[in-house]
Amino acid sequence: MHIWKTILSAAVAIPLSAQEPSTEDLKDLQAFLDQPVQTASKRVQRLKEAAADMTVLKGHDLMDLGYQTLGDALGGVLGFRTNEDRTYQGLGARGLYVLGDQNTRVLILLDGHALNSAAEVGSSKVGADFGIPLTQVDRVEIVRGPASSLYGNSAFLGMVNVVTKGPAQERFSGEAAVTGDTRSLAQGDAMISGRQGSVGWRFLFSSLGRGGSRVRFPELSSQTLPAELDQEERQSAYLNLTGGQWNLAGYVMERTQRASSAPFQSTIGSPVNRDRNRQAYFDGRYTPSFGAIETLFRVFGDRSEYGCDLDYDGTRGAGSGPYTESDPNWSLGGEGQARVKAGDSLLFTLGWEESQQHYHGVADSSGTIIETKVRHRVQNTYIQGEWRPTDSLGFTLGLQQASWIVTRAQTLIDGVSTPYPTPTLRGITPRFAAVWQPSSLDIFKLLYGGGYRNPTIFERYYSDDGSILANPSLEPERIRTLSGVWVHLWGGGIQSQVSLNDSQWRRLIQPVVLEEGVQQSQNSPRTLHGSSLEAELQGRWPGWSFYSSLGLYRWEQEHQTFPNTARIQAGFRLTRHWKHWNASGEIRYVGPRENPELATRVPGSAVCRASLGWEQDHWWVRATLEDIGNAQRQDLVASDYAPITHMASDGRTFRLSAGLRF
Amino acid sequence: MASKMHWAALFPPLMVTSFCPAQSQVSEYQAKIVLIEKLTRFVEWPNGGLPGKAFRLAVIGRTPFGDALEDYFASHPIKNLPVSVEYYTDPGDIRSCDLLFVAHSETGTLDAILSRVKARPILTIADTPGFTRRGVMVNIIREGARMTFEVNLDPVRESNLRMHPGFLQLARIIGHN
Repeated sequence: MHIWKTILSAAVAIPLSAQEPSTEDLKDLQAFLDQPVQTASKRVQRLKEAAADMTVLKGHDLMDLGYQTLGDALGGVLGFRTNEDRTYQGLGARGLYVLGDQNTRVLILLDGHALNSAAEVGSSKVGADFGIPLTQVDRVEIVRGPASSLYGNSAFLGMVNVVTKGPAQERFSGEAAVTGDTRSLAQGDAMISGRQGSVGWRFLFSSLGRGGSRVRFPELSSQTLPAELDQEERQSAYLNLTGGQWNLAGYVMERTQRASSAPFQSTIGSPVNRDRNRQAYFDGRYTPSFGAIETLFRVFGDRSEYGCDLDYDGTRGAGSGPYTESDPNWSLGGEGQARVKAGDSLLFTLGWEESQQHYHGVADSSGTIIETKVRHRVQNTYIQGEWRPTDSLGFTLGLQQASWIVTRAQTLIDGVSTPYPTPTLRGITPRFAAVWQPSSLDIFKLLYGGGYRNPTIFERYYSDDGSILANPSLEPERIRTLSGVWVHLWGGGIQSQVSLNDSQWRRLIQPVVLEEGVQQSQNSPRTLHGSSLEAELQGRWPGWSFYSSLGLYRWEQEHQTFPNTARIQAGFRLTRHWKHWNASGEIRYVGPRENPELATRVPGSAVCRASLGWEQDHWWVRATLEDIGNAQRQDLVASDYAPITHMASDGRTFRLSAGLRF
Repeated sequence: MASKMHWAALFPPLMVTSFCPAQSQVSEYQAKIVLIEKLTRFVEWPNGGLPGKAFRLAVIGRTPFGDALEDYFASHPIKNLPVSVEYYTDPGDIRSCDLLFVAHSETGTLDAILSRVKARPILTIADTPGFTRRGVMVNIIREGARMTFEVNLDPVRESNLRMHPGFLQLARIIGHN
């Protein structure tokens, strides 16, 4: 055999030449073949074969386009758009942004840990209050449509999971980056990472400061806005430790905005005005396997807080005088999950999660002390079965039972207590998916999923001295969405997706004005019906990549178009890579939308972005030009912001960033 | 507070995208992709090299790699050329390419595939036992916890591809008629 091998090998062996691979290559190949390989599924799903309607933004996409916030990046993904109120970047899904929603209907996860909280008084989670620099993100996994059967509360219109880059494989490495722009942004980020034996670690720190804004609001007769308008600061840190079967993560973030241009009904641009967000969590996971059973055990704790100092001069509908507020919510919880494989074609996942939570909001309204105390518990039990009868056909069926158990809820005004009834809210959310791949180039999916969102504590229990009333009978809102998806690989690196979606949204929670100056959150008795046609086309060739999306949307309540619905959204981006250079361009369009409440109709608007980068092994530099034109001006605001009906726009921004790696 | 099923439970294969060989273990599909890239270093295409501006890698049949092939080769050139990845569903679709990976799903159409590429400078690779004997040039196989590969020299000779002797020393040679 050895003789044959030698003789025949000689017949096809390469003669010595300049192209001969080095002995290092041979050693490298030998070492690679000596390396053990995990026992895993022999076949890996394509992303588009997953039993969901999803898109993944890769870390290099985020870098190439020079996005500043997570919201900027998400705004270019099929089905999503952002709505800017200059304090929080709201996230709209499938054409609709419910005015005043502070991202309570899209679940935002950081490495699988939810950033949404039960309180949800004031936050964005995708704007400057998202504390992870995008240069440190490996990918962003985006699911369109409800996913509460898997992820519970808040996974109502979609879900976004930001996956950070893992610890370095080397003993020690690091990166430092600085960013500045013509809107007086100054940001510094630092990352160090390393590995000791089998333990990898990664630490991020980010500090952001933004000076005052010079925007103008046409609705205001006086434009004596202060220089520190919308001045912003943010510090954040993230630590990730990972071993073979365990992972520990900790995150802290504090963001302050001064003199915000549109705080609720307060004096626009008052130097007293200050919004503050604090968020911290820890998350520990252990994932042992017992034979064919894979398990997950998780413990976690969260603290999120909204706070503000506001100055009311009475000109915007509310009373006058100073106002301060602090709304911390704590939680401590655990989760257990098991994945059991039965034969080659069946996989069951079952799990349970519970967290104990405590909210204690304190507001001082011109000397009147208003406290809101809520002790509550969240329980979720879920089961999912996946059956793959053939290699080209798969079914998924999931159910989740969720409970929101409020054990105590009360408002105290100057120490006088008003207790609220505390009914437990329970619900079952189903999910069904069928994925059929008749050929290696086509994938068809039928997806049916439910979403629910418990009322936030602010919506249900917050009450002040008369302008906002609690509503303890508020029910969770629910949505059911049916989607048909067709994915086709066209060859030449081009892939397309077309989907048809139909949604029924019941018990929509919205603030309702009961009388002048008095509002309360209520469930809408009318069903909101949404339908959409979405298409995505993307391609990649050596040195080139493009992504384009088009969505046509309709959201109606009793045949009336729902406020702030964009009938059309579209986007296109193109990237060219050379050895060290890369250049990208992007254009987005959001169609016209209406808000009868404010008697306004805004025209469509476009955002353009161009970015040029140079990257070497140990350093990189990037220049980005963003022209949002009048786009932010077309973002409607809630009636709380009267007389402002539209946001001011930042126009054109030039941003420069540079980084060093070692 | 939201419940979070472990992300891997929904999309298990998507969780692992790192290909760094310094990790203690890589998954089987990752190892195969890395191996494909490494194998090409020891193959020389006829007439002094590859004709195109890009290395054309094609997969026929149901890909076992998900989207990972594109991800990996976006940053790993072959022969100093950027890599374009294409997918074929039918032997009749096979056009000009430099490397053709034949998926397990093509067991029934393998003969038709091989007749389409016969004597053309196309490196054929598979990961299905028995495919080398049927005429695939390189077959990546698993032995216990490790990967190895078989080479059928007959189609290599017919295609005028050349392989490095050191590489062949590592291979299990099949088909010596």
